[in-house]
Amino acid sequence: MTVFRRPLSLLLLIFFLFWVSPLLTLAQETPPQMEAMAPMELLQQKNQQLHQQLRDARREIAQIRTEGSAPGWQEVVTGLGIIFGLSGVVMMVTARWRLTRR
Amino acid sequence: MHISDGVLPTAVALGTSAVSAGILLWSLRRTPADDLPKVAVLTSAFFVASLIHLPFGPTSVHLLIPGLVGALLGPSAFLAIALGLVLQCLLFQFGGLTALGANLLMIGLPALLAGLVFYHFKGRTKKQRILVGALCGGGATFFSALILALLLASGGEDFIGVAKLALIAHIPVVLIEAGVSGMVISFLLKVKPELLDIPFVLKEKA
Repeated sequence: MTVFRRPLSLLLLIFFLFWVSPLLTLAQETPPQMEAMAPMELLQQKNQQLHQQLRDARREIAQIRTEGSAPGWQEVVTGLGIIFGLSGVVMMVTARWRLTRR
Repeated sequence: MHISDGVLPTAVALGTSAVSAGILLWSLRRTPADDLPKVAVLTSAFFVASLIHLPFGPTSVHLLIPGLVGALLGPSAFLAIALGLVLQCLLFQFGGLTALGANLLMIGLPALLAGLVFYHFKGRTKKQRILVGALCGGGATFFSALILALLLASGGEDFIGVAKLALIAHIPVVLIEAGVSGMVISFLLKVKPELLDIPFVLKEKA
């Protein structure tokens, strides 16, 4: 009997390793429906995060665009200079015209 | 408030440009050389006022001051607004060169109307002048928004819908412009009341 003890225990070990332990791990795992739900939720979460980041990026791009296209003080000064310069030229011309008429 | 290039049909753009050119010529003939410094000051005020933006929901609207320009310049207001609009178009990229006539008509006509109303109804008392000035300021912007809706409707938009949107967006501007016009006129009544006695002559004396 002692002769068979060692092979028998070896066989039991192999049986446990290859047959029972996979069943035990399967029993512990989540059902297939639940398993499918988790990646979907994860995907949705990721999707929402990406959408939020995309919205932020779009807002920033729009802000940069408006900042870039907004007229600066140089344009304002240029415009005021043109207005007063033109009126000055017209006033000078009319004054000279009046003088020559006299 | 400015209409950009390509928004209006070509026929409307050409028609408004022709009408604006005619009114501009008339305004030029009614502008005395002695009034040029005042015209220049109000042109600059109109030119710079467009940079004052008021946040309104997701967008923003800016000041126009056609009523104030009209009340202070009378017939010369159209000339001042034309020069201001050309510079705004070239330097700030507000509106477009092909829509310049439409923009000029949209802001210039209410200015002339405000000048006419202020000249006839300003009365003699200080309070009445301030009140009429404020009404001209707010009313001219309201009228501008209506003309904007009319012009956009010519491009195929629904007039009632655009008019509602334009008027709602310009409610704060109308109120602020009424306040600003009233304050400026009240200040001018204290420091230089003769500036407010602009004769609005439609025809030259023979």
